[in-house]
Amino acid sequence: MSQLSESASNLSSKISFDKVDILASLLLFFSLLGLPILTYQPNRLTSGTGRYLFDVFPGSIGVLILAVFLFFFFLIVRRLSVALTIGIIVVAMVGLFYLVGEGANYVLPKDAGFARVALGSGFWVACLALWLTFANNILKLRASPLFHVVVFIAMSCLFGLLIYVGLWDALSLMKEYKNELAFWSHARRHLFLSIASLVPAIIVGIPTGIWCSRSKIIKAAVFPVLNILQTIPSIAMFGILMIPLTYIATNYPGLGELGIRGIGAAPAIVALFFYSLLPIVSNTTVGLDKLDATIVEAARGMGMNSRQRLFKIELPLAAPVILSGIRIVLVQNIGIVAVAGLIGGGGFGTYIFKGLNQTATELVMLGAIPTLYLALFAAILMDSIIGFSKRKIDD
Amino acid sequence: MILRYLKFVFPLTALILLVLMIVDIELFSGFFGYFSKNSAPAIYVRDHYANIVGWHLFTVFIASVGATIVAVSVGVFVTRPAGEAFMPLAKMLANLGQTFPPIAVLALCVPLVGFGMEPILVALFLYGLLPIFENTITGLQQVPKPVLEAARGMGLTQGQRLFNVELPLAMPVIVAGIRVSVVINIGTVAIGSTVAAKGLGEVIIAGLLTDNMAFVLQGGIMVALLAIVIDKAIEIISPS
Repeated sequence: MSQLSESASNLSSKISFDKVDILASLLLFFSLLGLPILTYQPNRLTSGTGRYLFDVFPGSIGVLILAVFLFFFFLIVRRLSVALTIGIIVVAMVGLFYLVGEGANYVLPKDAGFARVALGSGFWVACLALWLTFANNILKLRASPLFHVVVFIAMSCLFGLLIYVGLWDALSLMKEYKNELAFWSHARRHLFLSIASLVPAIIVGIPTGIWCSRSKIIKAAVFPVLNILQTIPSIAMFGILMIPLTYIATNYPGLGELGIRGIGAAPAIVALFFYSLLPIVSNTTVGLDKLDATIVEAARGMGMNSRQRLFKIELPLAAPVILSGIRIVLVQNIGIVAVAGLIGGGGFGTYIFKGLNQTATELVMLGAIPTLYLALFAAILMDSIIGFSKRKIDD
Repeated sequence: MILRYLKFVFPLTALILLVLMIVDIELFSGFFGYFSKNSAPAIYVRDHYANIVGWHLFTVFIASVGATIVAVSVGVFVTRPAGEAFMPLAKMLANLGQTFPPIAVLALCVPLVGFGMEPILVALFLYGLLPIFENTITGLQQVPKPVLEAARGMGLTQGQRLFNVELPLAMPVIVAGIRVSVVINIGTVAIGSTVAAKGLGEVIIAGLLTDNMAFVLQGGIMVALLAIVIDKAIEIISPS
C-alpha cells in the first residue's frame, strides 16, 4: 500500500501537472466542440443562429480538432519549459483567430446581401481559456512589471497585424469598423478625455493630500466632501454639471466658444476631475501617514527643513501609494469617459450607446472592446510604473 | 470632540433627508422647481420613490450577495493547500474584474441576457468582487499562526478550524471589503438604467432625455444620500 502511494507520488513529481492549465485546456476543448464558434445573421439587426465547428468546416474538422487537442495535451503534461509553453499558446491563439476569420468566409453565402457572420460564444470562451493558460504561464516567469507591458504591446501588435492584413474582413465586427469612419478620432478623443482631467486632479489632489496628512481638522472637512462626490453616479454628475456650464456658456459667450458648454467635452472633463480627487487625495494622505516615523526623524536630525523632508524623503517614499491612486483614477476615467458618450462627449461610448439604441450587437462591441482594451493597457502600464517606484525605494 | 460629533450628525442628516424624500418628495417641489425650465414637472411621478429606491437597493443587494459568496469562497479556496496553485491567477482575475469598465460590461451583457436588471447585475458582480476577495485573503492570512496551532492542538478538524476560528477572526476585514464594494455599487447601479434597469438611474435618465435638471438632481442626490446612509449602517453593524 505504502509502496503504491510512493510510486504514485513519484509519478506525479515526474510529470508535474498544472491545475490551471488542465482546467483551461478542458475549457478550450469543450468550447470548440460544444459551443457555436460563429453566428449567422440574415441581416445586421437580427440575432443570429449558432454555427458549430462541425457546421463551419465539415470533413476536415476531425484533423483540425485533433491537432488542437494534441497541442494542448503537450501543455497539460508540463515537461516543457515555460517559455516554450507560452510559444505554443500564442500559436494556438493565432490558429483560433485564423479559424474564425477563415470560417466566416465559408459561412457567408456568395451573394451575401445583408447577411452577416459574427463571433460566437465558442470563440469567446476559447479565447478566455487560452488567455487563462497564457496569463498563468506568464505569471510563472515572475518577470519584472516592465516585461508585462512589453508582452501586452507585442501581443497587441501581433493580433492587430492579423486584423490589419484582413484576416477578419468577413466578420461583422470589421464591417461595422469599416462603416465607422470616425473610429480613430473617437479613439483619440477617448484618450484625451481620460488623461485631460488627470493633470489638474494631480496638481490639486497631491497638495490637498499633503495638507490632510498634516491636519486632522482639514482631513475631517475634506474627506466627507470627496466621498460624497464619489458616490454621485456618473450620469447624474454629467447632468448636474450641465447647469453651471450652460450658465457660463450663455453669459460669457467667449468662454462658450472655447468649448465650455453644457454638453460635450466640458462636463466630462469637470466630472472626471471630481471623481479623480478622492483616490489621489486619500492615497497621498495614507501614503504619507504610513511612513516610518524614524526615517522622518532621522531626516530631521540630519538638519533637513520641512520642505526638504517633504520633497527628498516623504514624497519619494510615499510614491508607490500615490501612484496606485493615479492608477485607480486612470482606469476609472477610461470607463467613465465611455458613459460620456451618452451626453455627446464623444469617445468609444458613442458606439456603445448607438449600438444599444439600434440593438446592433457588433456596434456595441466596437465601442466596448476598445474601452476594455484601453483600461487593461492603462492598468498594466501603471502597475509597471508602480513596480519601478517600489524597486527604487528598495535600492 | 467636534470630529466625533460630525461623524454621526452627518449620516443622520442624510438619513432624515432620504426618508423625507422617499415618503413625500412633494415637500421638496419648491427646491427642485427652481431647476425645471418651461413649466416642466419638477417632481418625478411615474413611480413612487419607495418603489424606485427599493429596486435600486434590491439590485445592489443581489449583486453584492453574489459577489460576497463567490469572493469569499474563492478566497478561502486559494488560501487552502489544495488551491494555492490558483492564487496568482485568482488575484489577477479579481484585479481585472475591477479594470473592466462597468458600462462596457453592461453593454456586452445585453446581447446575452437582454435588457433590464440582468446586465447591471453582471457588471456590479464583476466590479464588486475585488475588494471582497482581497480583504478575504488578507483577513485569512493575518490570523496568527499560534492561534491556528492551538486550534489544531485542541483537535478541531479542518472545517471546524475554518468556520469557528479563521473566518470569525477574519470577519472584520471581510466586512470592510463588502462595505467598500456595496458603496461603489450603489453609485454604479445607476448606469444600469441606460439599458432599462429599474432604480434611481431611471429618474436621472428621464431627466437627461427631457433636458429636465430637476429629475437629474433628484436622482443624483438620492443616490448620494443612499450611499452615505448604507455606508454608515454597515459600519455600525460590522463586528470589530
